[in-house]
Amino acid sequence: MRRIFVLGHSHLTALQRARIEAGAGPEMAFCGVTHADFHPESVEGRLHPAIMAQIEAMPAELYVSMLGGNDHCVLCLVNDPRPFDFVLPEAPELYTDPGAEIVPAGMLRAELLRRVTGHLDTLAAFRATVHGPMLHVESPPPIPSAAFIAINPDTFGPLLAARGAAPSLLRYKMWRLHSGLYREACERLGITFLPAPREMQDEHGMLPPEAWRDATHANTLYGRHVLAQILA
Amino acid sequence: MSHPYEFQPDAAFWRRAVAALPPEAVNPAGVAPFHIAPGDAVVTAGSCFAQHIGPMLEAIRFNYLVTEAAHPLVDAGLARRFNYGVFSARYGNIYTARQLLQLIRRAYGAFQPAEDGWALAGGGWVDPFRPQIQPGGFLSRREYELDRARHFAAVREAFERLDVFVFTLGLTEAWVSRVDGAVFTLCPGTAGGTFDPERHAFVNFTAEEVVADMTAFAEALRRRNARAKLVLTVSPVPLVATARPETHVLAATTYSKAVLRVAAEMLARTLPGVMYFPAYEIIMSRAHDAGTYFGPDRREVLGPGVAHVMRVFAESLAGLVVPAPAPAPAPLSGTAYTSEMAAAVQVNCDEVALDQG
Repeated sequence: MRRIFVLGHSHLTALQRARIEAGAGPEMAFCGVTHADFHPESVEGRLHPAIMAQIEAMPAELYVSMLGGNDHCVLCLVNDPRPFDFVLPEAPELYTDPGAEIVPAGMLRAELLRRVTGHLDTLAAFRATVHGPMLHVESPPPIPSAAFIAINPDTFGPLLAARGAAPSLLRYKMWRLHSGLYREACERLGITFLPAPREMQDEHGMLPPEAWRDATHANTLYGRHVLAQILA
Repeated sequence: MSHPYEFQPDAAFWRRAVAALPPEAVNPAGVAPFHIAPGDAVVTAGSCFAQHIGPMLEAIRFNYLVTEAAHPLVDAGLARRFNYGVFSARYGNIYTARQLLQLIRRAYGAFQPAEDGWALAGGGWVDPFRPQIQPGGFLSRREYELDRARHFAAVREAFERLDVFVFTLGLTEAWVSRVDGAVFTLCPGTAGGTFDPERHAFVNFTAEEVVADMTAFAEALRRRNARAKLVLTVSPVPLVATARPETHVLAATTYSKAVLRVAAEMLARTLPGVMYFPAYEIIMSRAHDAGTYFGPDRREVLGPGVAHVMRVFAESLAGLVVPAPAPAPAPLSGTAYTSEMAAAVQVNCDEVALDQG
């Protein structure tokens, strides 16, 4: 595989840095669409002209989506003033906080879907725009350490300072609920869903310390493992 | 010659109290035995018509008590779709007095129905006693049990904190478990579960049974909350379907509403702190002027009817004057009509699951 085009938001950075570090390898173009120049990323099934221009500049053999991936953090990175928890449908045995308000998972999933619909629309537009195989890379698992998050708060500084990081298991369950939406969209759209590298998860499925970058992002090491998955 | 009618108020005379008034000015409330003070906590429950009561209370700035609100991280429209805020707690429609009695007994652990969960074929669980509360069902048995525990806590809180309980009697027909008499919201098999004539039986409650059940409920409620007052209404919404094969649905509806109306009258006359509010009469009053408060399906109560109920409720129970809206242009058409219909569709009458033909 010689030419790979990657479209995504902030999680794309870890992969991009890993590719730069790797030196030799396939040609990869990275189109990070976090900047307002690319907004809205898609309208009525058509990608933003600036994204289209980048796609047209490099016809690829493989297209990779790293779109979205952090919307679950909006709901659960910091402690909610009204503590809540939920039962993860595919793993109901996971602990739920008896002191927290139980929110139905179906309703949380619907709320997450409402929040990621724009990204899923862009994913669908991306799929419809290009030919050839496409992958969507699952966003990295949550960082379990509240202490690390507190000192590496990314854009969540004031909120984290005021409320502290939410319980890691809640964040983990929300990440899985969130990933499930992308997995379903990929099945619907004919896109291969690339799960987080198993070796980049601890025994609880969360991100191990060597892969932490900030409150919600993985680092270049993690990117290296994702790159290996893509090239495998 | 003197006679008793000579001293009757205007409200006692059809000509003065109905025929001579614009339809939207008819006020059949009579003298309320008690009033609702501005700070009184009001809890609502009942059949699908009762879904109008909560928003109505909010519109007239009553203290509508909701003890099982959606978590605020969820969008308000989405929360409504999951039936939060429709009633004071997330019990869904309660059509019969027996169902209400069993709710309070279940909430306090005095009754645990044998048939307490219906598994969905594709995974997930349905609560037989609020089968349409959760779109798609609860996604695991554990979630169902935890949610139900939270629900019962919210029910207990509502009953213990309320000052006034507004209950709308909806139906007399119901399906019950032959094992323990548990009343299902809907016939098993229509919105979950499997109908089994060996386990499920049809009942059509009599006025005496409704009175007995409501009396038992009032006693149970007051054991937990001595100050509780009850406002009873009867839903004007007709049956979607009757389970009585020999009876036309219109005749079954009339019977059911008559039973409920009689029961409500008996309860209001015999139990202290219980009154009847004539929402049924307000909605049906339009039958006398060739008008209607019903939608094209002749079943759904439309906004002007709800507004009429709201005005009379506010005036008779709180002395509030809610101005009547300007007469609506007739016929309804275009955007106004679709908005009206959209609002009507928002009211979830889960009985419609009975008629899928």
